[in-house]
Amino acid sequence: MSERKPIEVAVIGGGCAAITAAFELTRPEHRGKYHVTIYQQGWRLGGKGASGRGPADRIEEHGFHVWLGFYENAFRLLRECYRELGRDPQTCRIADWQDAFQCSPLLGVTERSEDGSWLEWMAHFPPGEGLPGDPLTETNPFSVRSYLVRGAQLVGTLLRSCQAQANAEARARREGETSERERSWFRLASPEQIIEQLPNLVKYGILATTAGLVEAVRALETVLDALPRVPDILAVELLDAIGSNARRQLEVLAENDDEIRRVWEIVDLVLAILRGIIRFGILYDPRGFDSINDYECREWLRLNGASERSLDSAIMRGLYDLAFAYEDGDFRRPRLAAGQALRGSLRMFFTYRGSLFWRMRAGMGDIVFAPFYEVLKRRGVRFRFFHRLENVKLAPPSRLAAGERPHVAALEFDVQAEVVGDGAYQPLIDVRGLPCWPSRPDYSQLVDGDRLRREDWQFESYWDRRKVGAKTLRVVDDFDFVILGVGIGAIPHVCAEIVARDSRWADMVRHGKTVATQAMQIWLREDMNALGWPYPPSAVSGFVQPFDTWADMRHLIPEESWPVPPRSLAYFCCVLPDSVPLAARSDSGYPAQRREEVRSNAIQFLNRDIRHLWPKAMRGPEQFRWGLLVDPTERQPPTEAAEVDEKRFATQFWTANVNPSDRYSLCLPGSPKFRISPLDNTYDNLTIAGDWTDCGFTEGCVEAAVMSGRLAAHAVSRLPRLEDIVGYDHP
Amino acid sequence: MEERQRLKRQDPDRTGPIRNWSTVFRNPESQEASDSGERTGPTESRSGGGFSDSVTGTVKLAYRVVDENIRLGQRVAQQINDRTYDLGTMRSDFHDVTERTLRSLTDLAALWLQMLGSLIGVARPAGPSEPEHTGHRGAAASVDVDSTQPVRIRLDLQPRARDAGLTVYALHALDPASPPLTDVGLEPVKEDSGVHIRLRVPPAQPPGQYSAVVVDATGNPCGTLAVRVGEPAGEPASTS
Repeated sequence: MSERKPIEVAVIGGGCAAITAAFELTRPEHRGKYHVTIYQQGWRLGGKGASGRGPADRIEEHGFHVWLGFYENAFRLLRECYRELGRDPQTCRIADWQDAFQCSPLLGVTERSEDGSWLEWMAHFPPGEGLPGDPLTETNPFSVRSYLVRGAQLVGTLLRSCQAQANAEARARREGETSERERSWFRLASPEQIIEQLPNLVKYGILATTAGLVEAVRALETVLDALPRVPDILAVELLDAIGSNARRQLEVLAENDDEIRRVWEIVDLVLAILRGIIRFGILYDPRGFDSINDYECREWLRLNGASERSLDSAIMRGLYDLAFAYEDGDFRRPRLAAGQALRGSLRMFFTYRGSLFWRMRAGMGDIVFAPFYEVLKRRGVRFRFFHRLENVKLAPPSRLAAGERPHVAALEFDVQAEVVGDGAYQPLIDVRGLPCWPSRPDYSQLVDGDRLRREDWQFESYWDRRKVGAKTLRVVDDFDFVILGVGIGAIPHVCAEIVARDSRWADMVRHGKTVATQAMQIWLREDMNALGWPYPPSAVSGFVQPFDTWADMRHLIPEESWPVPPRSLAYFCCVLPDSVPLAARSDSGYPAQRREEVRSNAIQFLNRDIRHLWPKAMRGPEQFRWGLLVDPTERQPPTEAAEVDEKRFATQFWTANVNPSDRYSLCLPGSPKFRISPLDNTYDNLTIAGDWTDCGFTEGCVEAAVMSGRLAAHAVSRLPRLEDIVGYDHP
Repeated sequence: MEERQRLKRQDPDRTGPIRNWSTVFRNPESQEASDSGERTGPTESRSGGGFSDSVTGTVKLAYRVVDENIRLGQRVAQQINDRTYDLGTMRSDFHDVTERTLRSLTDLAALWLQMLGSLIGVARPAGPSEPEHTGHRGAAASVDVDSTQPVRIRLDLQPRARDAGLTVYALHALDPASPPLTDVGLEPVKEDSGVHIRLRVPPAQPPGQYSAVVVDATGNPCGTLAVRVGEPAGEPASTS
C-alpha cells in the first residue's frame, strides 16, 4: 500500500499574507498533510515589510512600520510563532513577543495655523483592556456596548489632551515664558494626576454641558441603546439638534481657542457618522459598511452634516496619511471608500487592546519575518530564494475535461542566482545574538557571487531582469495548489493570461489601484529635546509633503552597532506621486531616477520644512545643520568648523518604493466590490493572498494581509474556520 | 506507479464575510478562537503578570476619569439650573457661556421631551404635523400681550402637565446682545382648564426668537414657550 504523499502547495511571495498561509497550512494539527514551498525573489522575506541591516547594523526599512492594537489576527499568529520558537532569553534579547513590541499610546497630528506656523496636537490614548491576540472570551471588544463605552473613553482622552495643553500654555503665560511647547502636559500622563487636575476642567466641564451636550449625549446613548425601538427619524432629529446647537455654541468659542476647535471638529465628525449610520440604514443593511463604499469618505460625511472645517481637520488628514489614501500619489486627490474608512476607524479607535499603536523593537524583518522563517523551517517548509515568478500559465481551455474548471497548469520562474553546492540559501545573519536579515545578499553563498556583486544585480527590482536560469513547475508533478501572495501591482505582469481571459480579474486590476511611497531614515548626533522637539517618542502625521509622517524611533538605536551611537533616529514617509509614469520593464534606469527624486525631496524637506518641528536643527533660515547627521563609517564626528553640506545626506538611508509589488494598496471609492476573495474557487487549484484581496478588511495593512493569508489557508484546507478569523465577520 | 490525480479545491461554504450587525455582535463565548494551547490574558507575562496587570489596571482608572468628568459637568449644569451661582463674581466669558448654555438647553428641551415620551410610550407632544395636540390638552390658551411689534407665540405642554404651578422664567434669544424678556408669566384659567399667557415686550426689544422652558410646581420641565418678536424676512406679521 503506497503512503499518501503530502499535498504540495507552492506559495509565491514572502510577505505577511504568504507567510501566514504557510504558517496555517503547516500547523501540527494538519499532521503533515501539506508540504509547502515558498518561492521568493531576492534574498529575504517580507515583501513591503522587509527590512535589512546595513552599515553599523543599522536597520533599513521600506518605511515606518507600526502595528495597531486592533491587529488581532496578526498578533495572535505572531504570539504563537514566538511561543513555538522558544528562544532562550538568556541568549537572545528578543525572546518573547513582549520583548519584540512596546506600547506607543502617543499620537500626534499637525496643522497649519493662520500665521503659517505649525501646531502640533498630541493625544495620549488610554490603554485598552487586554492585549491584542488574547482570546476574545476574556475581553471582547466586538460588541455595540463596547463601541459605545470606548467612544466615551475617546471623548475623555480628547478633553484631557486639550486641558493639558491649555494648562501648559496658561502656566507659560503666568510664568512669562515664550515657548509654546511646554512639556508639562505629560506630567499629567498618569490617571491619578489627571484626577487631581479635575477642578481645572471647569472650562471643559462647561464644554461638556454647553448646548446641553452632557444631557443630550446621555439621551443619545439611550436612543442608540433603544434602537430599533426608537424611530430613526427621532434619533436623527436629536442628532441634528445636538449638532446645530453645539455648533452655534462652539463655533464662537472655536474661533479663538484651538483646543476647543479640535475637540469640536471630532465631535462634529462623530455626530456626522452617527447621523449617517442612521440615515443610511447601515445598522439594518446586510452589507454593513460596504453599503456606502461607493462614496468617498469626506463626501459621505459632508452629506451627513460635517462642516468643512471638520473635514479639513488635522485628524482627518492624519487618517488619510495613515492609509496613504491619495490617488496616484496626488495630494490634491485624497480618496478613501467611506465604508472601509468607517470600519477602519471603528476598529482602530474602539477595538484596540493594550495600546493604540505597538512599535517594534527592531526592524520588521527581525521582529516578524525572521521568527516565522525559523519556525517554518523547523516545520519542514522549503524556501526557494532568488526565484522570481514570471508567469502563471493556465491549462488550455481545449484540454479541460467536461465540467472541469480552469486551473493553473504551470508556474514559470526566472532563477536569479544559484546557491553554491546546490544547497539551501541561509538568509539570516547574527546581530549580537539576534537573527536578522541583511540589506544585501550574502554573495559568498551564490555561484559567481563576486560577479553578481560587482555588477550590482538588483534582485528585488522589477526592472532588473538579469537571471542565471529559468525553471518551470508543472501541476501534479511539482505542485497541487498555488497560493499567489504577490502584490496587486505584480498581478498584471505575472497573471497576464488570467487578466486577459477573466473580466473579473481585469476589473480587479483596473480598480485595485496602488500608490508608490517614499521614505527616509536619518540618524542624528543630538537628541530630540536639543533639536527643539519637547515630546516623548511619538508618531506625528498630517505634516507637510513630501514627508507628512514622521516617527521618533530613538528606541532602535541600541539595537544597532554604532561605534559612537547617535542620540536620535527619525523615520519619515509619504506617498510618492506618480508624476513620473511607470516605466517599461526595459528601462533599467527608472528605479535610480525615482530614488534620486526622493533624495532631492529629502534634502529640500530638511532645509525648508523640518524647522517647524525641530527649530534647533537649523543653521540658517533654510539651512539644515548637515553636521548633525551621523555617518556610520566615521569614528569621529566632524568639527564645528568643518564644511558640511547636503552631500552628507548620502550617508543616510532613503528609498523609493516603486516596484509594482511594493506599491501600497489603496481602497478607492467604488473599488472594494471588484476585489476577489481568497475563497473564490474559479480556478480550482489557485488562490490569492494579500491586503488587496476581498479579505474582510479592505485596506492596506498587516492585519488585512494576515486575514487574507488565513483565508487562503482555509480555501485549501478548510482551516482555520472562518469564524476564527477575528474581525472577518464584521459590519 | 500509481498515477497522481490532479487535486481540486473544494467549494467553501461561503465566499464573503457576514456584515449583518445582529449576526455579528453575538455572545463573546461563541467567538472563542481555536485552541492554540496558549494561556493568555491579563495574567500572562513573562515577568509574572506585571506588564499585563499594569496595562489593564490603568483602564479602570481611565474609566473613573471619564466618569468623574461627566459628573463634574453635571454638577455644573445642575448649579446653572438651580441658579445658585452669583453672576457678579463670575468671569465675563463664563457668564456668556452660561447664558448660551441656558438657551441651548431650552432649544433642546422640546426635542428631548419628544424623545423621552417615545421611550416611555407616552403620546408625543404636538409637532406641526399633529395640530390636534397643539396647546394644553387641546384647550385654547389665552394670551395677554403688551407689545408695539408683531409677536408670534407658541406654547407646547406635555399632556400630563398640571394647570397649577406652571412657571416660565425669562425668555432668551440666541444673540447674547439681545436682553431677555423677563416680564412673562403663565396662569391657570379655572373656567376651561386652560392656561393664560402674559407677556410684555419692551418697545426697543430687538427682533428675534426668544424661548424658555416651562416647569411645573415640582420644578420638572413640562413644556416650552417660544416667542418670535418682529417680522421674519418674507413673512407677513401675525399674532397667534
